Order: sequence, then structure tokens, then C-alpha cells
Amino acid sequence: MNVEAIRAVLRRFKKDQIPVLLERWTFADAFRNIDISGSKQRAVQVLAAACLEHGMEEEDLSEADVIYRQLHVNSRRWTALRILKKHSSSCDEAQLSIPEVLEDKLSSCLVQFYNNSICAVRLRDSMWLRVAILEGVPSVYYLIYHPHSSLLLTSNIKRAHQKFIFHSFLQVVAGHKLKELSLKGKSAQSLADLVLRRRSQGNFSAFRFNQKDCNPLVRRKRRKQPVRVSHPHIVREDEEKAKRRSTYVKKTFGDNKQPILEKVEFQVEARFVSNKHTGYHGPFPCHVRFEGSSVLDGIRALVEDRAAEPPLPAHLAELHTSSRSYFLIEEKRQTQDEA
Amino acid sequence: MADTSTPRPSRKAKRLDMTPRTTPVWAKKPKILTPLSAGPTLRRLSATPRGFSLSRVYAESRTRPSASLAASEHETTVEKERERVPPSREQLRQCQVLTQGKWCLHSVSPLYNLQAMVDRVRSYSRSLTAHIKVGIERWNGVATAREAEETGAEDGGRQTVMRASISLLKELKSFVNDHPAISLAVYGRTSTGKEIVLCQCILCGCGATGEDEIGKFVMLPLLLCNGTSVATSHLVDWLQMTFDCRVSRLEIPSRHLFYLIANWTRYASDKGKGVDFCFSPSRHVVDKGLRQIVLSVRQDTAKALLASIHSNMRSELTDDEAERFRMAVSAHFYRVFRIRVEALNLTGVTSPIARVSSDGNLTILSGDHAVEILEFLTGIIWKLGDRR
Repeated sequence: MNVEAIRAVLRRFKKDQIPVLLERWTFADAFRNIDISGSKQRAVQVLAAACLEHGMEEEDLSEADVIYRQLHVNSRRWTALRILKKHSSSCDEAQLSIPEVLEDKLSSCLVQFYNNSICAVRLRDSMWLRVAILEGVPSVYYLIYHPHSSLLLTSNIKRAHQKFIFHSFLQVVAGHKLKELSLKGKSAQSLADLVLRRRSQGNFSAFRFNQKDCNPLVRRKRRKQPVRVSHPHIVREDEEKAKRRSTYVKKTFGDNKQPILEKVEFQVEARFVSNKHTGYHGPFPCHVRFEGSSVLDGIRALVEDRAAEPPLPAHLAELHTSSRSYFLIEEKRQTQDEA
Repeated sequence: MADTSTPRPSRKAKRLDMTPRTTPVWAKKPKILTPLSAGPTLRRLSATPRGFSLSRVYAESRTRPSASLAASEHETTVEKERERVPPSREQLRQCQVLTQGKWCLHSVSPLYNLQAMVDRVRSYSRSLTAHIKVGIERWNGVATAREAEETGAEDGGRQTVMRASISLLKELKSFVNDHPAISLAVYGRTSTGKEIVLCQCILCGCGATGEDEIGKFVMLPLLLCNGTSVATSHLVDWLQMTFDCRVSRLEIPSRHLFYLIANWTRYASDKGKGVDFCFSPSRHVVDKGLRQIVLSVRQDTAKALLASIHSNMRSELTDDEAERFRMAVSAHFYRVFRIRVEALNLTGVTSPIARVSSDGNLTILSGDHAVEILEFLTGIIWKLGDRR
């Protein structure tokens, strides 16, 4: 193995991530207690020497690359896909949770089309797959598969390779078709939460995090004494309105952190209704994009900040249960009876 | 006997409205010192940050400077009297410079004693070259030491200035009586010896025709800057020092951004890119995770809405019509999302011909309409200046 290639992969890790790499890397079992104190450059040189000494191979370096991708998951944009299966098809999901089995199965299906190298690493309840196409222009793609579920997350895959990689994957999981959900983002964990835990978002997340049922044996905290206002004439004008607003926010969004979505887009096809400012009445197609580090938390803050007026429309209030980040808003079509 | 009680009328009193002198001819009128008539030592006081307002320059002027946003009859008459510069190939060629890159907008107070003759322009170039060379050498000394400390490289971020050149862009103006625009460029050399443009600035006054009684002030209220921040700051310092003016960054409020986008929408064709409004919520919401909300409307849709408010697409919108356009867009947004646009800050607008942000960054996308874009921005400067 080329020592420069090993150093190039190890150099990408930050200094405080190197102990995490040594903990998760199966190849590093032999030299887990190696001394990596000092500067990062020294730590990389020591590790590279240890890797060469223990006969490192390409598969081990691929595993280090997957661990790097797990620690920098926000560096890729992930697309969510649903695996559609026919009722008659079935596969041994338990076997697919073993990295070596999944690697062999996928590699044997994909080798019909391309020379490839597959590396699978398990992280909690998901399987991270590194698919390297060795023919033509060498390309590397990452797939995150959740066994016993119908969710697959992929990084950007070239069109030329996409068809064959998806076909091979469907053969492994005995699937019929891969349907693209209108859900994209950088946080893979948030995308998985939005799809797999749809019904426990918003206020219901309190049940998921065990915040509702408290232990009766735990001593109850003493009640807080009410704050006495020094001046009796200082009265908040809109106290009831503020209370209703905070109740609405708690009921709709809950108190916990929302799943992270960086971009939510709405294609609005609603008609423009004439008002006192203009007599225009007709189609007004427009596109609205909400952007930020966490759009769902931002929408909750908009209501708290009084920029948004409750009750919010369903496409904003139920955003966390929709499992999508791209919406089409149309006017409600009148049925014949209503017309 | 002659009557000596009434004074004898002067022989020179031929005009009917001339009243007999009550004070002797030899008595000098007391000189009232004002910043306008002050001598060289007091001239600098006129350029203090808050002490100088455009209205003071024109307090005694014969004609008020033209402004695109003027609504009074007198100003409309003045506008009609001014002759527009017809579009020409040379104007289009000079406007193509404006479509390269992003420009930072600054507002400039009237420049004192700026002369556009060839020999004076050459002396300004020499003075600017000397000033910038000294400034950048001083900065290089500090920057090189800092960069060397951080990266360990010997030559980090060093800029070498070759020369500065000043030229006139005679066709870059809206009306015949406008002062021609002035282009200032600073050229430098990279470490490999290649010549690069370190900084380019254009002083223009499209629609800023005006006269002052002294006749020594030149109206070029809009400054566009493009280049490295060090070279730009030294160039601005030289301008302020040489022409006793004040250069400040132009910040455009939301209301005026709506005015700009409503007017610029008229120029583009129906097909093509649409109109974008970029809203930013309050600091509290940005900290929570929502950075911006972008509303994109197709060009033909925006024009149809505009036509319902302002029927004649060839003429400019008034302030009221721009306000109605803003309220119409806000009402539709509230109907779909129940979010109040008034509670958000409009930080940038994009039209098919230009893109401008509230902190004064401009990108001109169409050279054909560059003069109209600059004219509207000059009008915004007049409006913001009148408020002070």
C-alpha cells in the first residue's frame, strides 16, 4: 500500500477525531493504545507507520474513509428514497445487518455491470455503504440503509451509474422499485427521523424522549414561589394573547429540538385575490424558499416572535410530519356539489 | 431755495426698481461667514459627517438639482426641459464595464473644485498613484508580518501597486447637462509579474444635474467600487482629501428596495428570469435557524400585477404606487403562509436587469439598462439625503 495514500486519508481527520477513529476502526484493534500525543502531523505519521507495519489493505482504508464520512455527515447532501416491495417478495433482513454479508451480496450483483469495491460499516441502527466504481472515471458513492425499514439515503450519484447501482441494491433487498421522496438535506439522522418516526414529531416527541411519564418514586420538586411585581400598576396588555400563542407553539411544535432541514421549498399555485391595494385577480404562480441551519426551529421562532400569526396553515404547522421538503400548494378545487 | 431734506436720486439709477441709496457707496457690507462662502481654512468644516447636507448647497442655487422622484410641478417642468442623452454604441461599450462583477455602492457629497480638463486629470492620476503606493506599502509591512506569523510563508498577501489611472466616461450619463462619469482604476502586479486590476471605482451622476451659486461643486453622488478592500479604502481616502467630500456606504431601506424592483420590473421582457425578494427575519429567529425567506415570482406575473397598479409601463412609478405594490405582495404572502412581511427585513431584490442588496451591493445583469439603473440609484441617494 502507498504510504502517501494512507496519510492522505488520515490527514482529513481533525486531531480530536483520531481517538474516535481508533475506537471504531476494526483494523486498529492491534494498535489501539498507540501514542498519538503531540501535533496532528506527528500523530498521522505514527499511525501511517503502524498501518504499514500491520499489513494494511484497500478494504481497511475504505473503512477509515467511511468512518470519516460518518463523522462529517453534513458534508454531503442526502436524498431520501423509499424501497417499494411486492407482497410476495422477502429477504433475510437479519442477514443484511451483518456488514460482510451485505458487502458480498451487493458486490456480486453490481459486478455484472462495473468493477467495484464495496465497504459496509454499521453505525447504531443503520448500515453505511461505500460503493466505489473502478471503471472509467473512478467514482465513490455513499448509501445509508436502515434494515427492517423501507428507507434508503444516498449521496449524489451520477445518472450513468444510478440505474445500475439501484438495480443491484433492489436485488439484494428483494425490492421492486425505489421511489424518490421529495426530501433532501444534509443531516442524515434528521432525514431518518422525519421518515421513520413521522408520528412522533412535534409535541409527540415528548413521549419518544420519555418526558411525559415520570417516575412516581422520584421526589417532586417544590413549587416555585410566584414572582411579586414591585409596582402593582405594571400590567401586561396582551397577556391572554401571549398565553394562547405559547400554548399553540407548545401544542404544534413541542418543546424539543426539531429535525434539521436546511431548505424547504413551496411551489405556490394559489390565485391572487384582489384587495384594497390592487384589483388584480388571477393566477399568481410563485416559488417560496425557506433557508437556514434549521428551518423547522426557525418557523417555531417566527410564531414566538409574532411575525407569523397562529393558527398556521397545515403546510407549515404539519411540516415535521410530512416527510418532505418540497411542496406544491394549490387552491382547493370546488366539488360539483359545492359549486 | 433747493430742498435738501430729500436725498438726490443717483445718476446711475436708470432701472425703475432701483431705490435711492440710504448708505454711502464706500461703506462695505458686513461679510457673513457661512460654510458656503468660507475661505480655504474653513472649507473642511463643510465636509463633516453630519454637518453637510445636500440642501445647504442648493439653498441659493437658481435651479434645484433634478431628481427622478420629484413630484412637484416645477421639478417636472425642469425635467422636461432637460435633454436626454440618446443611446449610442459608445455608451453601450462604456456600460459593459458595469456588468463585470459586483459593485459596492457609496454616496458622495458634492466634490469641490473637480476639473475635467486633460492636464488636470493627469495630475490627479499622479497624485492618486503616489497616495496609494504609500498607503499600500504601509499595509504590506503590517500584513506581511502577520501572514508570515500565521502561515510561516515569507511573502503572504503582498500587493504591489504599479499605477493608478483616471479617465472620463463621457457617454455614461442620462441627460446632456450631467457631468460625465469618472473611472478610477488602480493596477498592481502579482508575485508572478502579471498585471491585475486591484481596484476600480466609477463616480457617476446620472440624473444629478444641478448648479450651485459658487460654481465649483460637481455633482457625482454615486460611487461604485470593485476590488480589494485595502486599495478601495485608500482610493476613497484620496477622494475625500483631494475634493473635500464625504464618501459613505449606501444602505437602502426596504421601502426604497421595493420602489427599485417595481420600476426595474418594467424594463425586462416577459420571458426570462423572474423577480426575487429576499427577506431576512429578526436576529432572534436567525439565531434559531431560519436565515432567509426567498419569494420568486415570474417576470410575466410580476408585470401583470404591476399593470393593475400602474397602467403606463413607460413612465416611472410614484411612491404611492410602489407602496401599493408592496402591500399587494405582502397581502398575498400572508394569505398563503400567515407570515407578516412587515415583520421581516427585505435584504435584497433581484430583477432580470440587476440585483441589489440593502447593504449596498449591486450586480448589473444587463448593460442595455445600466444608465436607467444608475439613475434610479441616484434618485434614492437624493431621497435619503433630503431626510437628514
